[in-house]
Amino acid sequence: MSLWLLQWKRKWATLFIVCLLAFITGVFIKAPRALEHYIFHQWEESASQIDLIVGYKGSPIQIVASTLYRLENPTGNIPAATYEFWREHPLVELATPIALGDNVQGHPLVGTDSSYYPWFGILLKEGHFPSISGEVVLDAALADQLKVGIGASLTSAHGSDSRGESHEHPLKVVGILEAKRSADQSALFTVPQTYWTSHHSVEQSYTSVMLKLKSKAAMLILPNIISERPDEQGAFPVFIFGQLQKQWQPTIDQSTRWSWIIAAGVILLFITYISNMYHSELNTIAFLRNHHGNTASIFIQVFGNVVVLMLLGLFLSVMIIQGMIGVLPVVEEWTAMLLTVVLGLGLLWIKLRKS
Amino acid sequence: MRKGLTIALLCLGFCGIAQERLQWSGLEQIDFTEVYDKGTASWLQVPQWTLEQKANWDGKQWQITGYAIVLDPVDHVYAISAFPFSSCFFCGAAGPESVMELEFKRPVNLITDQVITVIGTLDLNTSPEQLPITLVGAEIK
Repeated sequence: MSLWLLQWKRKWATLFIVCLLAFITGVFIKAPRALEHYIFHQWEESASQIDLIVGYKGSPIQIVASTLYRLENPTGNIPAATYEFWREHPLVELATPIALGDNVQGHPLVGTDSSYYPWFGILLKEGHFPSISGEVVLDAALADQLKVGIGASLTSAHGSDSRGESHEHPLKVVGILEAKRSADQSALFTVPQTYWTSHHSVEQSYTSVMLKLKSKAAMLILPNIISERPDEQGAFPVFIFGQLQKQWQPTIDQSTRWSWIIAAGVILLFITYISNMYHSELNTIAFLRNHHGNTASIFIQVFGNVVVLMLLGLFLSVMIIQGMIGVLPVVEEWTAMLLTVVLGLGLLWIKLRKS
Repeated sequence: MRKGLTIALLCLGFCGIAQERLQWSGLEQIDFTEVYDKGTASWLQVPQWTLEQKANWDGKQWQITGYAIVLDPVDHVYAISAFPFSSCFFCGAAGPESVMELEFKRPVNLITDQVITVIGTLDLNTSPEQLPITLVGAEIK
């Protein structure tokens, strides 16, 4: 059996700790940005796709939370004339109506038109998009969860709770989607007419209108126009997140400082642990020296597996965080990881040369 | 040597003039006319530039200090305002002349209400679909 294999067999517990410590080091180096990304960027990205949401007079946060993320109840209904007004407005490039308020087995039912799907990068995998009242489409994963396919029948209910009063008009699944945002992956989509039919509405109405403006500067021009319109509330997702970011930034900065301090502590622990491994290998090193082994060959034979597991631990940390929140390390983080590897292995190398 | 020094000083002098500081109060003199949009039955404001304003500002390099307003954090679109976000012009506390669109040379990351000084070329707009002024080729000082 080669010395390399013998080392794996003899020191598997120590090597496991090296891998684990390298993994924890990688996680802590990336922790500050991962935290910031988790709190802001994912929401910010989807919020920046919409310049303005117009809803019934009420809280702008409630309008954004209900329209974009379906985390809240809508503030109320707006007449179809409001949608027409904004669709025709010279500063508006695209207007998409949204009708909310019902659910299918606890998942929100979104009444909208065909402009919604390309806006949020939703692709059609099977079937067709809803075109008449009662037709619904949903994400493939949600279809699996609800155990429904094209042609299946569903029933909607009032509110966000599936135990709410059911509607008599059945819904029919006509398409399976591939949605990008988690809010879209857990919703069912239909045309607004479904709402008007199931609610026996005499007047056509929506809960909000999403707007894409011709220029970003229009976001600063429109508030004065909205304020003159009765019963309408404008909600600018980017401004709301700007305010939230301002309020959260001190906490994020504080957490970032602490994360880097903890990361430095873990790096120190990791390097100390690696350098102490040298002492447990003194006999092996002395034996190899007596057999005329040079520093490089001794290093590879005795500590080669340490290098492999150190890199494996760091690689796993990068891959897991990338998989969870979708951010790759930036230059500073790669530098910190590289320095950790260089310092740990450098110490081993120096001690070996001195022996 | 002396000649070179003189030229260098002259150049510095010109740079100083090129980056003159613009005061927000100086923009209060801008006049606006309201244009009626029949389609939406609403009024939009259009700036009316005087010859003097055009001569002094249009295409000239200026620097200005104000509060950043984030318009799109992903595509790095920002505006600068004379007042913090909570009291900027669309909240009713000031006119449209108290806010300027920024077109940065290179993408920057700003947060709302961050106090910044920017240098750039003033572009006077006449379209009701734009803010009265855009600072093009802007850079943070």
